[in-house]
Amino acid sequence: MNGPRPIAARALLLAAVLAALAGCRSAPSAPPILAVEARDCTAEPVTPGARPLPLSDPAPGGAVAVGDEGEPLSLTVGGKSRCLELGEAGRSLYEVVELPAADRRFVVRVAAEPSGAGLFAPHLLLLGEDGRTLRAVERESFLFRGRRLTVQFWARPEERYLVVASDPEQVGSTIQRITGRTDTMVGVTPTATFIVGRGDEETSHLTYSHGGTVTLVARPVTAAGSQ
Amino acid sequence: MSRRFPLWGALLGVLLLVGCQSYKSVPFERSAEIRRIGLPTPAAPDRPEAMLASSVGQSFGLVGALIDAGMASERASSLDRILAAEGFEAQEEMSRALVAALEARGYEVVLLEAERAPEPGYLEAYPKASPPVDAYLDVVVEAYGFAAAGIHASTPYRPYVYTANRLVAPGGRVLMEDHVVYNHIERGGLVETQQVTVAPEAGYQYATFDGLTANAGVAVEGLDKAFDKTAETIGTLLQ
Repeated sequence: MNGPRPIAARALLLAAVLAALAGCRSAPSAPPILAVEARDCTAEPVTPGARPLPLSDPAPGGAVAVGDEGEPLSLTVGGKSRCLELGEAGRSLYEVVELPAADRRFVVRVAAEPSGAGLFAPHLLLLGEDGRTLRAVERESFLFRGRRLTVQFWARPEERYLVVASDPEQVGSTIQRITGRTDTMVGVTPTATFIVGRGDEETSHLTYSHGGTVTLVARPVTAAGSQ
Repeated sequence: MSRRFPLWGALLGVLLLVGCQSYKSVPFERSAEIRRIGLPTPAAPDRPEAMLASSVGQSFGLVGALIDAGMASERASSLDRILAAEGFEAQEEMSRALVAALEARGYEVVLLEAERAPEPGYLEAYPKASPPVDAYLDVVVEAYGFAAAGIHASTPYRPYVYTANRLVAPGGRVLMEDHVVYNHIERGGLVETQQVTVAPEAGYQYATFDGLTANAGVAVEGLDKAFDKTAETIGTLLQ
């Protein structure tokens, strides 16, 4: 009973350990989508099937920034998304959300998350009830907040839908971002407690993509002195 | 011995709370009503910093912290002398960069003299402007200088600028508020999600502080660019 385990049992044990280790590896990120395959595209975005964007609770004590507003709506723009034909500019993938019907003004916050070496190239359109484009949010309005490319804007009462589309003119271009960071480890021994700090720097090279993950939040915002 | 852990635990808790600081953010909605912006003298600390975000001294308790503080103060004084010799003045530099950024976006800018408290913060009242302005842009440079994430050559000193920014209507209503940080260093694994972060430009990095002082002219040029880029980003928040 206590002798060496049979080879088959050892192999099974080894396979189980390897499988467990493989499970610890994070799934590889999909490469950036640099072209939209030929398929049915429309010249204007279509709104049926738009996902509703709920209005979050007002921030206690005043205005808050992106990242501090509870559970966002997460969209994946990718191969299953609808397609826009933009003439010479090319094709764009898009998703549509329905803005909340609110009796007070609110801010919409949009954040594109990097995925591997890719970052969604965002282009936003705001549509009226009839699906007509009322305005676009310019590419230059997007700014990084940490690792996320974000924009926030006041929704106007006549705006009913938000189109989150890829920007074909930006897709394929790359950016480089240098980020410093520190980590602190706290060690406790029976005789002492110690803290060890360590600095590091990362240079990320991101390629703008037709696809990616985008999070959205709609929230009433008040600021000191504001209405 | 049993008392040591609560002390360090409390210290760590305070550090984490500092890391979780929440920043106000109000997006601007451009309208034809805001054409002329009053720009009070920006607030800025009286001297730059040469910051090491992590160092060997941090591992040696109070003694290490005191040694670190002394070395940081020496570096800051040295950097202060370099900037003075190169004619760099933070308030003037930020004013100049902001005027360029606002005018590029079609605003008329009226420079206003403002008395700032020794501790940088927003103004409590805004100076009267002639001609009258549609809004005041209150910019607070909270800190600036050069920062390195660590002590190795792979974590060089780079220019940094931290700002808090507010556009205020003459009646006091906040029309825009945000923080813009050039060369943000993520601390303790906390990923920034709130402040606008501008990545530092490659080309202005120094493996050691001595390397920075030996290339003072280029280093100050890098700090100039950091102020320009910060002001441009504040301009983006107002377009």
